[in-house]
Amino acid sequence: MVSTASPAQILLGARHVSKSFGGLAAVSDFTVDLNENEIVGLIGPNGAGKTTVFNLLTGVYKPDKGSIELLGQNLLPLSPDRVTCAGMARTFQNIRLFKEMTVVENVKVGFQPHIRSGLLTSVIRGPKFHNEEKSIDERARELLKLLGLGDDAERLSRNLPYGKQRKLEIARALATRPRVLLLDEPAAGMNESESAALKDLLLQVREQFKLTLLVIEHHMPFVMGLVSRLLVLDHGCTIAQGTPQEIRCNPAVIEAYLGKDEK
Amino acid sequence: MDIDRFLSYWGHHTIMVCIWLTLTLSLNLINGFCGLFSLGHQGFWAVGAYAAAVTVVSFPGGGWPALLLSFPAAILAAVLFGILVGVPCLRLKGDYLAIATLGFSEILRNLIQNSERLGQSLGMSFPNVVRLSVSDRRNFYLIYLVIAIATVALTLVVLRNLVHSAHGRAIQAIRDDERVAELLGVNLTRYKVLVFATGAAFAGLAGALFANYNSQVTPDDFSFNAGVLMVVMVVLGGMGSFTGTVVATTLLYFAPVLLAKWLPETRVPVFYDPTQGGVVYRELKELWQVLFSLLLIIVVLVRPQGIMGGREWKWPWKKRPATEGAH
Repeated sequence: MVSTASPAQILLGARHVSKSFGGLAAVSDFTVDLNENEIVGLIGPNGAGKTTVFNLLTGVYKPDKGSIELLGQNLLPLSPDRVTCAGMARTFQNIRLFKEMTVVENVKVGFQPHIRSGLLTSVIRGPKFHNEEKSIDERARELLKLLGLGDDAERLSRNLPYGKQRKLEIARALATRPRVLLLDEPAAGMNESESAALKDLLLQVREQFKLTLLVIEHHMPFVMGLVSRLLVLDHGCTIAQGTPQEIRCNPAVIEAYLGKDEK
Repeated sequence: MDIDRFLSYWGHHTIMVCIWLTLTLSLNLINGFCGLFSLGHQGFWAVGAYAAAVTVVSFPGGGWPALLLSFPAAILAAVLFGILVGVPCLRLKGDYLAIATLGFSEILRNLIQNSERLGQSLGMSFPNVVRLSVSDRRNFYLIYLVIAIATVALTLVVLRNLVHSAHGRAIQAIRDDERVAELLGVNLTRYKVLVFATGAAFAGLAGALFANYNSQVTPDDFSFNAGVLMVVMVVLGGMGSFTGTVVATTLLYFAPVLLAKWLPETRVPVFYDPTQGGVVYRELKELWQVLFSLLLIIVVLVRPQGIMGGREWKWPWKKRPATEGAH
C-alpha cells in the first residue's frame, strides 16, 4: 500500500471482502482503504468484478466475508438507502436516470436523505414545507449549473444527450451530500476533449465538496491523469495496485490489461 | 323539473361517482404513481364498508355519533388491512404483486361470506341514520352530496399535495427505478407500506361513505369485477394523472347510466340467426359491456398511455410552475 495514513484519515475501508454467486467467485479478498480527498481508480477487463465491488460497497449485495466501514461505521448491516444516508453515493455504468422525470426532478430525488418535512407537513403545506422545497429547488439548480446542465433543468432526462446524462447522474449523486462518491465509468462514450473536461470537472467537484472518489474507468488517459492510486482487478482478484506510474510500468498489467500501447 | 326527482336521480349518481372517484384516485397513488400494480383495491373498500357497517350497528345508541364514528373506524380498519397486505407484498412486483393483492381481497371476501356476524352472502342491512333523522328525501340527498363532494375534494387535495412533495418524488422514483431510488436514500419498505396504507385509507373512507349512504353492504358489492373496473378507470385515464382518473371514472360511470336513461328502448341489430327468426335485436343498454370492451381496445391501441398520459390539468390563467415538468 502506498499510503501509510493513520486509521482516522481512512474514510472508506473494505477488508478482505469476498462475494460468490453460486460457484463463481465474483470478488475475492478485496481490500481497499480510501483516504480523505483521495481519488482511487479501479480498472480491469470486462467481468473482472469492478461493478460487483461497487454493489458490495453500497449495500446492494452483502459480502460473504470481510468488513466494510465508512467513517468507522460498519456498513454491513445497512440497507442501500442507509448506506447512502451514511455518506456514500454512486453513479451507474448503464445510465439509470428517472427517465420520465425532468432533469431538475432527478436531482431533487437525490436530496431524499436530508428531507425534514414530515408527511403531515407536506400534505398540509406548512411554511416549513415551502421553505424546504424552495431550498431544495435552489440547491438542485446550483448543482446542475455546476455540472453544466443549468439550461437543461426543465427537459425530460431521457431527452438529454448521452454525455449530459452521465453528468446528471453525478449531479444526482452529489445531491445526497456524499463523503465518498463511486463513479462507474463516468467517461464512457466520451471523446478525448469531453473526457478531459470531465476530468477537470471532477477535480473541481472534489475540492468543492471535499469528496473522496473511487472511479471505475477503462479510458486510460482519463484514469492516468485523475487518480493517485490504481487497483487492478482480474477474475475478482486484486492483481496489482500502486500509482499510475507503477501500474504503467508493471509488465504483467501492461500486457494483460493495457496492451503494449505506450500512450 | 321536479326537484325531488332530480335529486334522487342525479344526486344519487353524483354521490356514487364521488365514491368511485375516491376509490380510483387512491388506487392511482398505488398503481400509477408508485407503480405497484394492485388488483385488490376492492378489498380495502370492503374493509372500510364493513367496518363502518359494524360500527353503526353495534355502537350503543346508534344515531349520529355512530355515523360520525364509523368514518374513522373504517379508515383505521382499512389502513391496518393495507399494512397487512403491503408488508408481505414488499418484495413482489408486476404480475406477482397483482395476483397477491387480488388473492388478499378474494380471501377477505370469502371470510366475509362465511362470517355470520357480517351477514354472510346477504350482507348487512341497517337503519340509515341520515334518512331517519331528516324530514324529507331532499335533505337526505343534499346532506350526502355535501359529504361525498367533500370526500372527493379531501382525497384530491391530500393526494395531490403528497405527490407534489419530496415524499411524492420518492414514490415516483420507486416507480421509475426502485434500485436507484434506494441508492439515493429512499427507504423502500417505508414508502411502499406508506403508499398501500394511504391508498387503503381513502378506499376505507369510500367504504364508509358507501355503507352509510346505502345502509346496506353485501360481499358482491366488492367483487373482482369492481376491482378490475377501478384499474381500468385508472389505466384509461392515465397512470399517474389525477385529472385522467377523474375524467375516466366519470366517463365510465356515467356512460352506462346515460345509455339506460336516454336510449332506453333503442334496439340495435347484433347478429343474424335464422333459428331465432333472422336478425336479432338487443337493447342498447344491454350492450354496454361490448361497447366498454371496444372502448378499451381503441384506447390501448391508439393511446396506450391513457387519456391524460400522466399530465395534469392546469388552469390556463395560472403560469405553469417552473419546477413541474411533464411526468
